Parts: sequence; C-alpha cells; structure tokens
Amino acid sequence: MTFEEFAAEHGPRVRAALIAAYGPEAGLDAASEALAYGWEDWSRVGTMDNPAGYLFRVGQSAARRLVRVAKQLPAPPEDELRDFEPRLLPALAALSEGQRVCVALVHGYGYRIVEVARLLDVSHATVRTHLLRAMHNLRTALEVEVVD
Amino acid sequence: MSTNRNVEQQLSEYFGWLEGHLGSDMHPTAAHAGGTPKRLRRGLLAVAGIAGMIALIVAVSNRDDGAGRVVPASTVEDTAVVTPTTTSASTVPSTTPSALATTWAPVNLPEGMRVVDVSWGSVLPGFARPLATQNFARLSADGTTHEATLTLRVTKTEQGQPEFSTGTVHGLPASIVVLTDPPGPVVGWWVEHDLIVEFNATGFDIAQVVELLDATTWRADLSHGFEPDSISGGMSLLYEVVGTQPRPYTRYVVESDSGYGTVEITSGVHGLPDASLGTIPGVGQLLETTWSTVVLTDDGTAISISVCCLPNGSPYGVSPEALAVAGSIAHVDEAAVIALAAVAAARELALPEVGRVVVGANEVVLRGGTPELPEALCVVASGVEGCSFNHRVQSDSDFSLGWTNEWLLSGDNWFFVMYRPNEVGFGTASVCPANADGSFGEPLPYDLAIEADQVWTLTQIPADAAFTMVCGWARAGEPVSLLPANNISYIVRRPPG
Repeated sequence: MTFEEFAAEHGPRVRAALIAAYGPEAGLDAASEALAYGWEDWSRVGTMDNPAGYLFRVGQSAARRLVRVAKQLPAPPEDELRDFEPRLLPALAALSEGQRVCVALVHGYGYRIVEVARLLDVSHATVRTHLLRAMHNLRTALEVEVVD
Repeated sequence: MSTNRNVEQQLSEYFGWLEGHLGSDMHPTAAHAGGTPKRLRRGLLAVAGIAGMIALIVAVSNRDDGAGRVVPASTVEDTAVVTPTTTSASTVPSTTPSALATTWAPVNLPEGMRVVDVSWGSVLPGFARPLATQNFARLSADGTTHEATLTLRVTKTEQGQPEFSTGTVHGLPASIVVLTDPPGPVVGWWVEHDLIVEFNATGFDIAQVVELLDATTWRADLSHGFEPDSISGGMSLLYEVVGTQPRPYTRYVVESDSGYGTVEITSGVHGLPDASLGTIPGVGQLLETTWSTVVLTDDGTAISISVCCLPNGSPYGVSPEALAVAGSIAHVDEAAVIALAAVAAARELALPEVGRVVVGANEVVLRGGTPELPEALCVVASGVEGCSFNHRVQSDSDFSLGWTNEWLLSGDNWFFVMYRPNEVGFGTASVCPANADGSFGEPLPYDLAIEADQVWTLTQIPADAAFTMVCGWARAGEPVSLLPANNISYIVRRPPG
C-alpha cells in the first residue's frame, strides 16, 4: 500500500479521532503532523501491523502539546443544523478524551468498534466500556427519555 | 425535558455537520466500508450492535490476514515480567503470570458495594507485539504530575536503518522529530541488534532527548529493553511490560448502589499515566491514565479500575467509587478469590426466576431483573444449575448491544451461552477451545433455540479445554469465518476450583 492509498483509507479515521479528542484546531493540526510524520517515515510505518494506530499515537502526542485551552467543538449555525440540541456540546466536552473519541467515531461517523479499538490500540471491550459510559453521561446531560 | 431524537442520531447529525464545516473527510471511505453507503452502514450498525461487531472483526481481520486462516500464536518465548518503580534492574521484583492471576482482589469493599462476578483469562499481545515497553517519568515537586516522560518500546524487526535519518543514537542513524515547538514531544526510532526502538519523550528538546538516549545501556537480555539506571534526566522507571506471553487477568464486577464498576487485575499496563495520584498504604501507587485509574502494586501487578454508568454522570477518571474500590484491594490467595466467585454465583442462583428457555438437552434460566434484561444467566445441566452475572446489565438499558453472552460453570460443565435478536443479518458466534498461548482449535458444535424473538445458543466447552474464546462468526448457511490468532485480545480461562 502506498502512503497515498493509506492516507485516503485511514486518514479520515485518524483525523476524526484527533478532532474529537482535542477539538478542530488542535485535532486538525495534530492529524496533519501525524500524517506528515507517516509520509516522511512511510518506509517503516508502512510495514507496521497497524500504521493508523501508530500515527494516532503520534498525533496524540502532538495534540497534547498543542492544546492549551479546553477543547471546544464549534456550534452549528441555526440554519445549518435544524433541531440542534445546544446542550450536546458541553456534554461532549465533559466527557473524557477516550469517551469522546469512541462516541464520535462510532456514533458520529459510523466506524466499527473493532476499527476504533485497533486505532486506539485497546481491546474492543475497552471501547465498548467507553461507549457505554459516554452514552450514559450524554443521556444524563441531555435528559433524554426513550420514546416508544 | 424529553426528546424523541435519540443521542446517537444527534451525534450523527452533529459530527456530519462538523465534517462539512471543517471541509475535511472523516467518514469511512467507500472502499474502507466495503462499498456500503455510510448512512446505510450506520443504520445497520445501530441494528447489529455487538453482533455485527464480531462479524466485522472478521471482515477487518480477513482484509489484513486472509480469510479463515488460523495463525499460530506467538513464537517468542519470553517470560512476562512487570516491574514497579525506581528500583534498579538487578533488584526489580518480578512476578510470574500464574502468581499474578490471584494475588490481589477487592475484598474489603465498603458497605453498599459487593463483587457480583469474577472471571479469569489472559490478555494476549494483539497486533502490536512489542517485546518491551518501558515508561519513565520525572514527577513534579508535589508528586501529582509528570514534568517529563520517556516511553521506550522495543520490537523485533526486519526493518533496515531509517531512510531519512535526522540524527544518531548510539552512533546509529535515527529518525528524530519534534512534533511541536520545543520542548514538545520528540518522537522517533532507531534500529539496533535487529530490534527497533521507538521513543516518545515529553518535556525535553531534541538535543536533550538525544543525550538521554545516547546514555542508555541495553540489558543483558536485549529483548528486555534498557537498564533503568541508565536513564538520566531525573526520571525513574514507572513501570514496564516485558515479554509477549499472554498476561493472565482476573476481572471483578463490583456493584454499588450507584452502578457497576469493573476491576481488572493484569500483569502490566500499556501507556503512560497522566498523573500520579498518591499511594495506597500497603498496596502501591494510584495512577491516572487516559483509559483508566490504575493501582500499581508494590509487587508490580497492575490493577485497572473503571466505574461505569453512574447515574450522576460522574466524569471519567477518579470517582469516589473508584477510590473506594482501590482502597479495598488486598493481597489474597486463590482460595479467597474462588470464595468471592462462589458467593457471587450463590447470590445469582438465589435471584427469582424470570424466564426459562430449553436449548438442546439443557435449560437456560433467567434470574433477577426482567425477562428482557435478566440480572443473571444460568444453565441447568444434569440437574445442576450454575449462574453468571449478565454483563449486559452494566450497560444502559437502551444501548443496542444486540448480542449478549456469558461463560459459566454448571457443576463440572463449562458453557458458553449467547442470545441475540432473531433478525436477518445477525450471525452466531463460534466458540473454540483455546490454548494458553492464544492458539485455538476447531469451532465447537452448539445447540440452538428460538424463543420470544430471541435466538439462544448453548455451547459446551470440552472438559479438557483450559481456555476458550469467541473464535469466529457465521451467518446462517455460511461457513464460519475464523479470527486470525494474532488479532485476538483475550482468551477466557476455565474458572478454578
């Protein structure tokens, strides 16, 4: 697989995870740094079992230095996302980094739990735990009631 | 306030908007998703839940490793060794996996908290397969944060020297990159003795990292990484995981009035903790990592604590419940752990019956809770009933797990019981007998029953199997797709006693 093929297939997942964890600004910068690092070192990274997971770790390191203020996800303008629940963003911000990454990738973008586990280099049981905890906290924050 | 728009839908809409807002593709690509339209995939995910997950594990694994192939597990015969802090290599205490499995347990829980499930197994090295991971840190004066960190990871490699080296370590070409402004993280790698050493340092600039790395000396056994005493910069070894053998775990589910928590005791932790939270007298250090609260005991055992689903929405990290569990941990022998498990099983057996399903020659009994969400799953075989905590109870009631399974003992018989919705698209998990090294045999036959729109399967694990695992997935009429052995994260051990 060439780096270009890798970036096309796995870049979105790395980007989505880092943005969910650290916000759009630092997340995008971190993803760019991680992918740039991957490109520069592709002769080695490309032979790894899990280059996307490795580059996520690289991006994580970058982002933790880039983030100097609380990570904030932007609110959509009213005319762009009808029925947007404004309490969703503070609820997302209150989640841990791991919870936010899992919930964004799985429920936000439709990634498979096993893909997320592989990206984060944790077991799928860990991802599942983060999802359960995150969804519980989000539902609590949003006071969602199940409607039959 | 209530809403008829579920949280999953809101998340999907918001992150979809964010993707467009940033002009940056973050959804799975069509090729990545196997050509399935992503909106449809998301809908399918909501239905398929965990059942789909296992099927997709196969899909992902097959893409990487070839369909239906059973790959032998590790060929590396190192011993798993875990060491705690600051001691020199020659005096670092080590513990063997067999001793680690049952040496600590949450036996002194405060009133209102109790162990409701005990299970045993082994964590496997998975796809990363490093030989040694060593974490060093320099603590702040108040001991609560890490001013500087260094992670070294050693893995076997056939990789040559860096194509574009930017420095040297031990006189060898090395790739060294600072990811942000100094003194930001410095990452890189070099190859020495046919081993690749990857590093990640914070709190240093490039020159300082090179100086640190140049001063390192290898241990006599190269696969065990570096002599902790050779790491300068005021740092000490926090912990390390050495070896690629499976690491035994004992997992406890703790129930409290406010929810459930999981305590997992294994022989090592991956990743660097974010902060040191102090010590627990007679037990060890309390660390906070990105993924869990960790108690690092004085004998090197790592105890991961997570508390799930508290109704007050306690933030991730160190909750009062996690601290209570940490404070309850004590050094015990295996008999004490077996006794904990027996008390939990007896409690489940005493719960009222809420349902019963005949599966083959045996019966599955649902106890406690509701027929839709029983608190315990039990199996009656040869007139003997044995139970296991239903882990699904730990989750939100409206979280679409889709598939539920437990391993349990009924007398001397060991079973895997699973139920899932009776819907097109769901498959059935295959269970295989496994070996301690993570290799596994052929899928086992199972009995099947359909009742109340649920499909039930019951698999009896052979008496001579010490370990078992979910090894594959099959949709109706299709052959079983087996997981590649080197993608397996854990195996389940037959309960002792």
